[in-house]
Amino acid sequence: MSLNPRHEEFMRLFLSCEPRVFAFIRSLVFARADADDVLQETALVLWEKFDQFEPGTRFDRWAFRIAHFQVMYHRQKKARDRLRFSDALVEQLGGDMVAESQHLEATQDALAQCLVKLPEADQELIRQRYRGNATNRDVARDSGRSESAISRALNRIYLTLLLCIEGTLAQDGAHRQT
Amino acid sequence: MKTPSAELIELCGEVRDAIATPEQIARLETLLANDREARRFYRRFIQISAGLERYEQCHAGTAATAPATPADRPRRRIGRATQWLALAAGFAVLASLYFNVRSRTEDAAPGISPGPAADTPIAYIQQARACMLVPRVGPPAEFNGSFQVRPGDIVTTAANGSAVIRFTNEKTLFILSADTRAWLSQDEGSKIVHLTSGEILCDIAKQAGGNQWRIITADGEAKVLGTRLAVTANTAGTRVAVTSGRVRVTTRDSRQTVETPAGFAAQLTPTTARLVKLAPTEPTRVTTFTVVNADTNAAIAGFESLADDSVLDLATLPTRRLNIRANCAPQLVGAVRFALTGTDPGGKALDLVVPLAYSFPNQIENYFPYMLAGDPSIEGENLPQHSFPWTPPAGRYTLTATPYANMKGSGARGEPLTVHFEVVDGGAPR
Repeated sequence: MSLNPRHEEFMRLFLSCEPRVFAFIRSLVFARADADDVLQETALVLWEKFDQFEPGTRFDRWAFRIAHFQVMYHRQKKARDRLRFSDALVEQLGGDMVAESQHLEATQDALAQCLVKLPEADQELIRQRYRGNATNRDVARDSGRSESAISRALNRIYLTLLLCIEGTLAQDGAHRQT
Repeated sequence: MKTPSAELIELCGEVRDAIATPEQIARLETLLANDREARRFYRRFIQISAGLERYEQCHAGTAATAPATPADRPRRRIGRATQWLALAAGFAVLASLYFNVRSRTEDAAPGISPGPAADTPIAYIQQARACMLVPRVGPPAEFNGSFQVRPGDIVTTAANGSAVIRFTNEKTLFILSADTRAWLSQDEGSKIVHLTSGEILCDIAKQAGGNQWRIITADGEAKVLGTRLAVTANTAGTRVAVTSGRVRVTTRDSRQTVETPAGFAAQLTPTTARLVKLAPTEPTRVTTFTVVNADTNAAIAGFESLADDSVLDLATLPTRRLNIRANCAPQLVGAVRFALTGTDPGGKALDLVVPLAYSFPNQIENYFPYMLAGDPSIEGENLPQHSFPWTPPAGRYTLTATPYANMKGSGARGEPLTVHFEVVDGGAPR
């Protein structure tokens, strides 16, 4: 494999925004496996079109636009899928995400900070749920609780995290209304 | 952000947990369509989910067993982790502390189709030119030479590219033509090539225990037990051309099945399948010879195409452990029969021997790549990326290679190629 300077530069830029691009895709594609596929296709297109990227401009915004196209293409391929938002809503959500793209990195930093502030029991539930692609059913089976109880607990934890993230962003002055 | 409704929270949770029904999706859409705050909540909610999921996946990728070839790969992985740490501004550090109790061996394969052991290489790409690998997780990378492929990794070739994919523990190989995109997966009893676009030439070894190969395109699939075929996929449809054996081809939507024998091609769309007789093809031919380093099978610079009357000066070559590869059109043929004669500087016939290539200098090569001095591919063992070394004594040589349609030099004979070359060991040629 040749690691030429151009590829090194691509890797640096891509890796810096890969989690955000995934978050972007994930908000528009329900199935995680499909989101993984779209991310992979997006990476391919970004590299193939890297010559068209203008140095000095925002790589992440460019990546989001490409990802948005790939999401729409993916939706075309899965046109018969009933588990999907309308094109109009996807366009709207995608546009919102691109507009707030500059805050996504701060959001993820805040998420990492907020995770460690959770009570130990909540941290343990998150670990169980996100370890090795576990499902709520897996966690329920292992913990002797019902699936709906796990789901409700996760919703509560997500709300806690969300409020914490909002607070952290506000505190850091990095938060802007979108 | 105003407090979201209990209904919105619940619906977002259903989406997160991948258990939302179409009706719940429709209701969620209604809630989001005209409410900016609700959309903002949804985005944040999914971002949290994606952050947790993605971190796990990235972590799994870097924790995977270190790939063996080429040397760049581990370096890239390490480099990637370093950059990640730096560029994620502490996220990974905190998250890795957070997740430090998880067992790396429990990482499940990401994605849908790669199969149960997505971190395990299932194939090697060899002799790649102008290729790109897009791993399941991580950035794409251009590469030449050799590389390991894991389930779900996408391999693409450029307009001037090609690649040979060989599989562990069997002699099956695929040649990706230019402008081709494909990826591999496996499930119980099947190994699968997903051809997105372009052309692959397939030489599929007989499968044990009822296992089979499946080649899937947007139009349908071909099920193969052991044969030679070429599959082409483009916007007009898929063409499965069978040159030996028999292939069962099934359309994607109508599930129409066509048994395709040798000498025929199945033309597929998602709903139709049509059997056509293959037109008589151009005779196979040997196009060029390439002098390679036998320890790597990489071409020796300046001798990628061995010209007639070339001079090989052993003293100036990067290695004396050489082999010569016959390059054919099409790249896959039934067999190549070599014939090599040589005379020493005094004009006396040379006694030419390579210890492990028993029929050398009249080697018959049944399997790609076609090497004059042979290579150590053994059915059931991992495929080597080297061949038997031969250090030619000084002298003048005549080398001819002839392609054949079938194994062991049988079947229709193609167009041979002959070159003359001289070997010296320092000093000027005669």
